[in-house]
Amino acid sequence: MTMTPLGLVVATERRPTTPHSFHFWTALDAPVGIGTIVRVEGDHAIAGRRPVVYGVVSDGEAWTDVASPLHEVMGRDGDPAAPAPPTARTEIRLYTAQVLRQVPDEPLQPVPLGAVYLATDDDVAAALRMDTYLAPEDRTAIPIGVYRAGTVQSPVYLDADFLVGPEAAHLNITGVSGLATKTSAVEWLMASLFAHFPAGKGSVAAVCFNVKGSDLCFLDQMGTLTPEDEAIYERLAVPARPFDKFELYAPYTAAGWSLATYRSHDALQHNVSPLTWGLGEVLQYAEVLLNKDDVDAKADALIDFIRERVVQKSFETDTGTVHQVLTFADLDAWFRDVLRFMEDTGKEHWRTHHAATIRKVRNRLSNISTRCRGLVTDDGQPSDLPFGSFVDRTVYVVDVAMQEEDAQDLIFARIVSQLREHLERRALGVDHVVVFVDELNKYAPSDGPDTYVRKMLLDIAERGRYLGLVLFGAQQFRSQVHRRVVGNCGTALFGRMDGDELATPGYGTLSPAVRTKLATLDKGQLMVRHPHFAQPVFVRFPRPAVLTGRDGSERFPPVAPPTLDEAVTRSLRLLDPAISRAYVQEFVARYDENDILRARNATVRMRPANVKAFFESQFKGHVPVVPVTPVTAAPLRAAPPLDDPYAF
Amino acid sequence: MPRMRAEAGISERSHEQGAGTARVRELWRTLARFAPGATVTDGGTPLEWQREAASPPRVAPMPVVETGPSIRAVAGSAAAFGGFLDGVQESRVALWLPGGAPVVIARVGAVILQRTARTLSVWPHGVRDRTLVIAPRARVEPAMWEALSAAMPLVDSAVEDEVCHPDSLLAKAVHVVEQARAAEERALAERWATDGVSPLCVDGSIATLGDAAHAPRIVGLVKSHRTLVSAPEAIPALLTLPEGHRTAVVELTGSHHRSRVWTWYLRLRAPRAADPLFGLVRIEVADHGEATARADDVSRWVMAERTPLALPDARWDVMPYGIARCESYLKRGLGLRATA
Repeated sequence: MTMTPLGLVVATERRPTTPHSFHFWTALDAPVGIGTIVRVEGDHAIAGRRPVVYGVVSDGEAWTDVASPLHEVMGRDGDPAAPAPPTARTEIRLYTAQVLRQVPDEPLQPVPLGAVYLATDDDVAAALRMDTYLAPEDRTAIPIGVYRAGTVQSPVYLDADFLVGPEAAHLNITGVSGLATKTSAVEWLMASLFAHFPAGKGSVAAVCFNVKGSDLCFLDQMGTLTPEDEAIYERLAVPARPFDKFELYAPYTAAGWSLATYRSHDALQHNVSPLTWGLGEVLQYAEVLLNKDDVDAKADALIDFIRERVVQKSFETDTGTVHQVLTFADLDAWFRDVLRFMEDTGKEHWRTHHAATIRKVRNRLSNISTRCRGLVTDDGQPSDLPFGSFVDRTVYVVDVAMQEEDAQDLIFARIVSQLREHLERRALGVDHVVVFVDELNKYAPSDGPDTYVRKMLLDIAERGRYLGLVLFGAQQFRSQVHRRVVGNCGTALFGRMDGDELATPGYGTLSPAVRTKLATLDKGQLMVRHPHFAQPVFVRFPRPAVLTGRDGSERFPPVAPPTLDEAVTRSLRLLDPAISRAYVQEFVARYDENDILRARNATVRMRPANVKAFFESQFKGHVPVVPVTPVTAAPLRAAPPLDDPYAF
Repeated sequence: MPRMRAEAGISERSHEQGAGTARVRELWRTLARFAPGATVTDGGTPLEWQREAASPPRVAPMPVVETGPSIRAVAGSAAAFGGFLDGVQESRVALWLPGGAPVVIARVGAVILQRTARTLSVWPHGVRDRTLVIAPRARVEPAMWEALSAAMPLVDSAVEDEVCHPDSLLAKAVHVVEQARAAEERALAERWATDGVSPLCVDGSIATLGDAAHAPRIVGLVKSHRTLVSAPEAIPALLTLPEGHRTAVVELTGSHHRSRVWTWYLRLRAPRAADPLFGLVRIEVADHGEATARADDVSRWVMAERTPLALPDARWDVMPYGIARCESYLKRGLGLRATA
């Protein structure tokens, strides 16, 4: 190779080269910095082959020939503003690099005293061992960004087998809020994954939980890219366009009229669906909402009994009443019946369950519909993610940003459990699912109570790769996430880091210079750890080609909270644009709000061909509300005079 | 040009350093083979370190060529030097032949560092070095001389027959080395006088630089003062010369091996009570132009070189940084002990 060396390896007794690190000096204008990948060519062949060593710069030093700072003070007569001397002092730049790879890898020897070159594209591929998964016949490379040094801009790839499984899996990204661009990085990586995931590896989809603001609400809308971003997209062969297959699910608001999401603009409702669950779905994950104090062994036994024998079954109580428990209201009626029987008969136990336990479970379960109002329906009919018919390269966003913490936990637990169950049966519709969870230190903290959600995340992290269930987690403080969750992530990304976080022991293996670089990373820069990379590398990634939450909210401002007839009209118009608001108002005037919403929800869920006919059929058997004129009763005695407020 | 290009020059020349060192080792092995009965030394300290002062301190009055006051203030400073020249030598006794004749292996070198945009770098063709093997032919068996000459370029130290004291023999050898070093410096200075476009600061006297001594761009800086070029009655004024002041220009007369030059003293730094020669340099230039204007200009150039300090060099008070870098280059780049 005829490239000009940019440095020479130097070794002294105090700074020797080793098989894992070496030092080299460069000219002052050499395009070398922390994270630069270099190639060292040895002069002496070993076993007939000249050794080549790849390294990444992890530290740098510079000094001049001045022996003491005092000499500089003397030279300028103590005046920093004195004119610069006619000669600049000789200065040296000495860098320390960590070995990424030695070729040949045996015998493993100290790095030879050779010339140091800036790594080319091929060198970067070899240094990061990407050549093993870049081969055309067995390519599993997923672009993560470009590595830059001087004029070199080389693609860096992750191995799909180590990102999505089965060899390793999961990704964790950490960094300070607002500057680390964690969400952007994940959006970009999902686009890259969808574009490059090899067809031979099966299908892949993503389920993203939008936990704050409108971050993930506009992934199907084109964002703004700079020419530099577009160049990176082109370099990495990733289409610079938003996700064309996108669906958003959100529970209703507490009023139940409209969906609790910032994506409420009329122009964006075609791929927005309600997320509502009935008693059966919720009761299955009651543990999520009940803490350990609530669910002791006795309560657990009663919940199991209800789940197995009562819910969605015909159950005759001791009073002779036959209950069809489909809703929380039905369940409460069942509880009332059982407890009345016990009170009437003076019994303290009913089918081995103590009255106190029954009252406690009734209290806790009934409370769920209040705490998760909007998510839980009273009609018992769920509107759910399309488990079983997931579509390849589709992003499913579950918007839980407006939900209470309990509801968020419930949504997360049930969806992930359903994903897992379907993947175990190979019945999800896709072979792999990426689950993106932000604020991981909230859901899987390193300390605190052992919650159902944390146990579930641990389970995904430890066993998900065998199923194709992949966790993409993000958080501000990696040190505060359960170590088994982050430890099982094959790939780790680091954006701009907080100094306090960098001071924790988990970053002790990084050099001070690398830590400093992490603390000052620009937006769009990441440090990447991947099983194939012997050392972390820095890459730059483009802005995702989607609208950010802020831009999306400006371009598609959320609509104001609608009235009941507005909300129902909007929902039905998505199915039949001919439906007028007057048509809906007619029903609103005649029927109870719950009847209207039940009819609306059923219509939206069933998506019938004749929307009007189906909607109207939902009111059969329901008595219309008859408006009555209130009758004012005559007061028993006259009101007291206004000037005597104490008189009665 | 990067500031480290001077060090890059070191890297480029490091092969020469290695080659020079290997050459010396090869010569040692050869000498040991040709003189099995001789005493092969380990080299010891350089001969230059062992030599006594070549001449006693003296005062040399010279004719004043500048009219007006004998002490003048220098108005400010102005950096003008585009290059710095220095040379070094190093001599070691390799062995003593059976007849009591020393064989000395010496290396000499010289370098010009050019200054561009405040950055020093090796001037193209600005490095010269040479290895010599020196022996007193008059004290060596003819057969041995022939044998050694056939194996290596041997230089005769040209001692007279009556010289037999070992120190005298070594002094002769060192004199040969000094001449060789001066020749290297002269070659570089003459090249600069021809090709250079800016003033060159030379470490030491320019009177022995041949044609370069007549070049207006060549400036000599003498830092040691065993010979004070001054009238005896002017010595007190010289020793108390204030900082930033110079003496009147005098003419150093020439001889068969020294050119005629103008010279004057300049106080770079305030004198210390314990050392009246502290910060005092003597400047030599060719006798061109009007003496006062020329002395004022060159004095300003030299004043500009007071910084950066050449510390930790012991002569930092009179040593321009560029000259210190030349010594450093020759010492580290060519592996020579800095011995002028």
